[in-house]
Amino acid sequence: MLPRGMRQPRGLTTMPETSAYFHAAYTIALGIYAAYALSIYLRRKRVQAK
Amino acid sequence: MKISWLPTLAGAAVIGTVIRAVFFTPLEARQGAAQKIFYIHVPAAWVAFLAFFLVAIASGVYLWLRDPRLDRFAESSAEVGVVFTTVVLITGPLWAKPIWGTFWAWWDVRLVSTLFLWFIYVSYIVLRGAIESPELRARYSAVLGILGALLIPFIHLSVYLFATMHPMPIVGKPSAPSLPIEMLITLMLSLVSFTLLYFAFVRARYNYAAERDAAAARTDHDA
Amino acid sequence: MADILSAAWLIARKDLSIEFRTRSAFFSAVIFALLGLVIFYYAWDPTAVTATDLAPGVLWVIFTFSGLLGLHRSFGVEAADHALDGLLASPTSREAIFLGKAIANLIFVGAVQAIAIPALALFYNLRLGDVAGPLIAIAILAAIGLVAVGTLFSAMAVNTRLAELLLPMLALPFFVPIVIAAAQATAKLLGGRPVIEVGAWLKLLLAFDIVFVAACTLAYPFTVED
Repeated sequence: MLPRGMRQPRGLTTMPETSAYFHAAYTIALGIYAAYALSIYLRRKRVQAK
Repeated sequence: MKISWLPTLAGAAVIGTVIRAVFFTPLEARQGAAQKIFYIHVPAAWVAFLAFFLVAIASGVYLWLRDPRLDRFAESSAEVGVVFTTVVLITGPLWAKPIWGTFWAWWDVRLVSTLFLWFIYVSYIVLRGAIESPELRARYSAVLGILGALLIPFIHLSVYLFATMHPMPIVGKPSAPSLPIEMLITLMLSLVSFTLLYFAFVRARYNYAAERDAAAARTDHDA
Repeated sequence: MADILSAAWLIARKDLSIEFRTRSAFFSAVIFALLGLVIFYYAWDPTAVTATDLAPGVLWVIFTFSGLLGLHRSFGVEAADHALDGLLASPTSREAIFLGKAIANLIFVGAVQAIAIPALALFYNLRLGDVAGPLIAIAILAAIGLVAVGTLFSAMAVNTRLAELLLPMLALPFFVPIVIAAAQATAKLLGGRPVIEVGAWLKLLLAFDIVFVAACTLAYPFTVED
């Protein structure tokens, strides 16, 4: 049985090409969360070193 | 190093949600891949509201009980809220551009309100940084935390009235009730996992604040 | 309640008589407003944008910025010689101190407006006579909201390291609904629309005033403890 996602409408010619925006949004959003997690980690390290 | 369960769970949930959103959720026929921005944009907006709501609650209770833990929680929640608001403000225009042809859409009431939200809580963080005395800082920021929450409906209403009185071309973004079941499940999952991420961030940020305050107290004691 | 109001009026009179004797802040706020009106006129192409379209935005943007000039002085004047401590040690209630400060600021802002609005009509060739009533109502409602929030943040900002830099940053987000509502309502009036169309904006301003006068009066005592 195929996973549900395999029912994606492949090859649909009317589909607008918007994947650049999709890639940019996901990369930036996840990048911000990762950078924030790192910033908390580094700040804690600095305090613990005192 | 000991593994703490909340960040692990939140991280796994977020990664799982992103994998499902990217690979296992159908594409929307009119918007294509851009519609998938939905699954990070909407949860970020929800978490931002949750964060600022909790700042206001913690601020109100702080003024009553004067427990420094409440102030530390408000501080943490406000900062995490600003991070999520930043994500809303970046993903919103990236979604608007392919769909509406413009990055910034003044008629998108929620996005414009979010910008003002960002300004309020960035100034909250600046206010905190500008006061030396911890007790004074806690009181002042509690006052701003409460007033900020009172301001949100007014900003939303004025931006909304402005948008309805100056109608601009509106093409609907998909809203939750009409979503096909696969997309709805992905949305629900993303709401849950980013909420978990919020709590993981706030807890870590809170622990940092507690360690920082303890270290400051030690330095004062030695001096 | 009557006690609070009469005490508040005493404090307002004290502030106003200080201001009346020196007139320093009032003159700088008026000159600032007039300069703003003139400079803004040159920021647009008069053949593309008519003065009537320009005027509401100019008026209310200048209103908020000149208001900030006066608001900063409100508690700045108490900072010298720790005058505020004397005021707080007196049996006057904290709410009365706040209301007194706010009333003085309201009169200050209103006086600047009383000069700036006719000047706007002069410089931008507007006929304000027909809409004077509703325009004054908008100005009063906008000034009350601005002063309530601004007085509280002025009290907070003087005790921070950033002082005068922090006041605009704290206060301007709170002025956003006021500026949008006042400018849009003024634009409707100047555009010759019936007064009924500005009703929604007036209600918004009124609701803002009620919520923030109450909230700021209740919040002020928390900013001056110990």
